[in-house]
Amino acid sequence: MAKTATAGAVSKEKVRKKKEGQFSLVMKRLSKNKVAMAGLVIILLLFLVAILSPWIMPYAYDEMNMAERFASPSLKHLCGTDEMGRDIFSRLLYGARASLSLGFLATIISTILGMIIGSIVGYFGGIVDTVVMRLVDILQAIPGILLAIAISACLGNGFTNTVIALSIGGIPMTVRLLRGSIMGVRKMEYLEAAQTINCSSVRIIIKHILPNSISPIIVSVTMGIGNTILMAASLSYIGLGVQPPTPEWGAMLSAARTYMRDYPHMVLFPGIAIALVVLSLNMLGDGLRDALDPKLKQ
Amino acid sequence: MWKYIVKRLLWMIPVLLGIAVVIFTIMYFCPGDPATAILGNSATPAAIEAKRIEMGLDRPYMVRLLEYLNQVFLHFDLGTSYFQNQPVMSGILYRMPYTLTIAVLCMLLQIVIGTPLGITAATHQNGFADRFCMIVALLGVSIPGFWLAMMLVLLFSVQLGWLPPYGVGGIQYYILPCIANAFAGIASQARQTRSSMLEVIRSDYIVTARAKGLSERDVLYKHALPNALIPIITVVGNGMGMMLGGTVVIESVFSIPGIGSYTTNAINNRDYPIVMGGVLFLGAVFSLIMLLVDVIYAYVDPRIKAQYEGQQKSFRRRKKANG
Amino acid sequence: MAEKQKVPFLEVKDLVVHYTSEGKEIHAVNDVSLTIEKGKTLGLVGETGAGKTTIAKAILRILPEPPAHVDQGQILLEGQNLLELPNTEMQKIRGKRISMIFQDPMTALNPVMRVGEQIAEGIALHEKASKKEAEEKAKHMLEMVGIPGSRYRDYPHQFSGGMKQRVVIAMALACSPDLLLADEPTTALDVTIQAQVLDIIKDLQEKLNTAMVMITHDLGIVAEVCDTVAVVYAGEIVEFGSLEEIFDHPTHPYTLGLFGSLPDINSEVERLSPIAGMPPDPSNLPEGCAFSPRCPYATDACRKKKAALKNIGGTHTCRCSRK
Repeated sequence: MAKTATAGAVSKEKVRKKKEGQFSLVMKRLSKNKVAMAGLVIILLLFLVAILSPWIMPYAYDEMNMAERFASPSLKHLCGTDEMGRDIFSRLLYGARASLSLGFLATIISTILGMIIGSIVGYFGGIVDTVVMRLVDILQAIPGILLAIAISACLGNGFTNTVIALSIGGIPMTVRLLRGSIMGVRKMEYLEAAQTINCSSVRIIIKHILPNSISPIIVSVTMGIGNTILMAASLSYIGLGVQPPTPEWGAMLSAARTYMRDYPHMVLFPGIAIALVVLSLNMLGDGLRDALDPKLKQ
Repeated sequence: MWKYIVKRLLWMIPVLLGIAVVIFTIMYFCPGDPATAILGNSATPAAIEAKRIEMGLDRPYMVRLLEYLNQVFLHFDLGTSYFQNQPVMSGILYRMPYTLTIAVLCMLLQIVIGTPLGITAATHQNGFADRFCMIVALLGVSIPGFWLAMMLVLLFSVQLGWLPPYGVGGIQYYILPCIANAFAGIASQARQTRSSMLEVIRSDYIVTARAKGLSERDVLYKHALPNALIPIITVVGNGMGMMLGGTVVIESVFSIPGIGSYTTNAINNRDYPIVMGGVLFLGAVFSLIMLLVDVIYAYVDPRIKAQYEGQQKSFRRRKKANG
Repeated sequence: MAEKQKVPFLEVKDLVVHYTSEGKEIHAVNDVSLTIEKGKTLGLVGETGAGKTTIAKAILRILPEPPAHVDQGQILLEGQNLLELPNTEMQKIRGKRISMIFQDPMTALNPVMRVGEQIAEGIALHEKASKKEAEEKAKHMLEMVGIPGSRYRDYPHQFSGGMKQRVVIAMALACSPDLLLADEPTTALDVTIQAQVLDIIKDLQEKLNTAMVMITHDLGIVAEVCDTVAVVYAGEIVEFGSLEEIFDHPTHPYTLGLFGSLPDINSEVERLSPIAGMPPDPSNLPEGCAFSPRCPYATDACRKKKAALKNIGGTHTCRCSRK
């Protein structure tokens, strides 16, 4: 009895070690990639800024000061002020909350939904597959931003509605991605092996298929957040999505366009902020892709 | 092959039907009443109700949907704008040249600039050229197109006065919108080309080609590139979708009267026939592009081509050869 | 000094190759020396990962650098050191004087190029033939390996594995090379096809008087085609001799092990005796004799100091302290 128990514990330990081994291998490779680490550090810093913004911003984001409208960047106002004399730097710091949470929430929601649909479709195939994939075809035939615009117009502005509008557009891609990799994995022999020992379908999907198709998902999530932030900014820019007075970077750009000829600083800094977030996410995503790509081992 | 193209063209019909259903449904559930929007807030409830009945807005969802589909697919009529008193079809046809000009120019820029950048980066892996190309590409996929457009306007129109900041006219009006819109496409094309080339360069048949005594140049352009192009074609197609979407925003930055701005303005006005027509039209254009992509795919990759056409032919040939 | 030595056809001297992977050094080939005479066949025998393929690729200079790196050694083709040739000169040798058959026919052919063109390409390059002549010769080569010339315009995906390997063979022999490097040419094939492919190689070799390096882990193939045999273990040659010397008097414990794990139809043994243990990790080779951890006869001396290759009669050499 005692002996078998230890044997079980040992094998569990082994399994855990193996998993940890893979994970730490990926992390080791990732940590050697300076570009990816820089991306990670920037993202973490931005998160910190977003969380701490109420305490670290020099002015309240909605504090108006009509005497100092359109002030150029100076030590007093690092990024200048806008048409109502609000401090742009503070608004950028606070605006990180909206942009980051929009990007992360929408991407994660669409990925989870896409994964569920994609694994069902990819695993069972047949009629389910045909129907869902035709739906995916249809949704993907509408340019993403246009779909988001239409849904966003329908649901109305505001944070939650924008998250919904942005996540719907992302689902088809994840479904396609996961279905593709599951179709690839499905033919592999180890799945047949799993079936022969009477593994249930759900168990096969969760234990065998998902871990093997997770790397492209991780990469696509990282890159997807960046794209979603870009799209959210575009939405706010054309007057949908998250709207003033909430400081959102795209909405700040939209409001500043009227004054851009005379006060370029008003469009310069919000754009740099967006580019910085997306850039660091892409840097991290590239690094993750390289670290997860087993071909690189050679 | 022709059979395949016809098949794909026929397949576009259900896709377009699907797009019509999706967009109609979204618009149906939109809050806000077109009748109120047309008559203004001061109109009496009775007048609004009369307008609703006149416009057919009071009928159930299914009836209106079927009527819309019938009108669009059997009579090629996208309806009439609520406000502009003009058929949506003619509105779209009038604006089409602007949007298509931008889209086609952007696609050309993407292919002509993005592909060589990617090849250069791959062949100089980890060298200076590679670093440079990849930094540019990374920036390209990270910078919002409309912001880049604003910056370009500030520099080339406001500061230097070289190019017009907005509007339409000669080719000079298209330069800034196309650069702003194509940058992301160029960048992702370069990135994809590079990774695809790197992957192909590692494959066995490249070693075979080298073992044959071919020069590095021939190995690269005769063997690696044709194989690397296959996955790139898909990127061109997807990039095209991105660009069509991008034009929507870019048109609004540069006040270009294209289909994108036509549609987005209509959303704000609750002019639903235009919204549906615009989305449907852009969807149709995108589907046609994807069809083109698939045909090129089949043309470049004999394995895929064989799936569509050659099976019988080669079977016959093999039979003949074997006995 | 006084006695004039005949220059061997191909001589590999003190070849050392290592790979770099994630900061680890993998010692793939450690001080290998070989000679091959014109028209003769040398068998390179050993387990997977012993460095056989690396030796062949180093001869043809098609190792991927990085990660591979040739640290030292000479590869003399009729006295000329290939490792010192400029790349353009080497390209004239590859495919013309030395060519290679690859292990996996599935991936060795360019999937988007017609098989005939892949053969004709080398011919046109090395024999300065016109396109037409090259095509004729390529068709002739296809027929020599038993594929109808009418399939010149087919693509690799239209062939079975065995036929692809014949195409690879036709490609390798197209310019009548002086030396053929055959890297496990039959491993990826069905047993029934293996014999056919082997016969084709042997026939053509005799017809063209080609020297050959046959890389394999199959002693049956060695017995069938080789004149001399080199047994490779962990990147070193542990035993070398004529076919008879090796088969009649296997001396190194590893060679003995190889024979022990081979089923013999004539003698009745209860079970095959496999070699105990696993091949050593090439990034962390044991001190002393690399085989000592698995060797039943290993002594403390073996574990401390590597034995030199010693002549044990005739052309037979062995790297073992017991002799």
